[in-house]
Amino acid sequence: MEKAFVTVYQSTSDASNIYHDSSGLSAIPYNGAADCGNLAAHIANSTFYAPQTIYVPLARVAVVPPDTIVLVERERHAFFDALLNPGEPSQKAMDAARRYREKMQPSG
Amino acid sequence: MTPETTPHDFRPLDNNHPRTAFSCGDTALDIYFRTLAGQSGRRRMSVVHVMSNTVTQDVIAYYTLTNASIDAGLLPDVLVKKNRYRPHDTLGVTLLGRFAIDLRYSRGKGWGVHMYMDASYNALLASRIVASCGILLDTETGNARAREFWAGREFVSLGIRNDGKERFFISMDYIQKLHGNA
Repeated sequence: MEKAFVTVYQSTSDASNIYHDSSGLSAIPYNGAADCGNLAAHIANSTFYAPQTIYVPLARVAVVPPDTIVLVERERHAFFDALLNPGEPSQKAMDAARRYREKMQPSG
Repeated sequence: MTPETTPHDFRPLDNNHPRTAFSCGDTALDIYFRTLAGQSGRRRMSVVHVMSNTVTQDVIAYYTLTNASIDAGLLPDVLVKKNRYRPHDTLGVTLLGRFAIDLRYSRGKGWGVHMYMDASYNALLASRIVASCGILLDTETGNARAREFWAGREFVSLGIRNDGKERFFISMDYIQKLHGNA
């Protein structure tokens, strides 16, 4: 299995799931920390806060660009629920949108 | 003064906006607007939208929009099978990064809702050119007023993060229903 050295940092935003590599990319365990094998175990068994370089299987991490927002495990359910079941705007919201359109786009 | 009775407009920040007098009561948001917003726009880090009183030229409020992508881990089957996403695709999202109203414009008069309508309308228009699955924002730690406001706008809380900020999301399908075929 292909492996790579990854320098990991404990994330300031959520130490449980996100590890940043030395170039600013993020190493994200698939399915949360439980599925991350060596990387998660290494983090879980460490009390370090300084960067450390470890050797991990590439297949166990997803590398994402630094401007990507990463949702942690406990946020995923609410996110997908909101995404797939958007619901209907309330009458109050519809009225506010109508007032906005009448004020700002009178010709529309 | 309400949005109904006060002449005003929305337009991207430019050099004609008087920025130094703006004060929303939050130091970070005030400093950003007075000193960093212009640079942020020029560098295309975000677009700063300003609501101005067209009589007095006062800045009433501002908000920022930015494109980003969201990594939510493995996608649900419905997105993978029906919409042909790859299992670990990232999704485009619109960040409502900053949202601030000047203290001179008294609260409870509908300015926040009115500006949210402009922000969501612009996010919807932009999503027809660059895909976005919704609007995402973080409220500051302990800002109960902001939490109440966004929950009242039917944003869904994704929970409170370790740094105390609460993350909210609303889907673009909802925004589409709100504004229709605008």
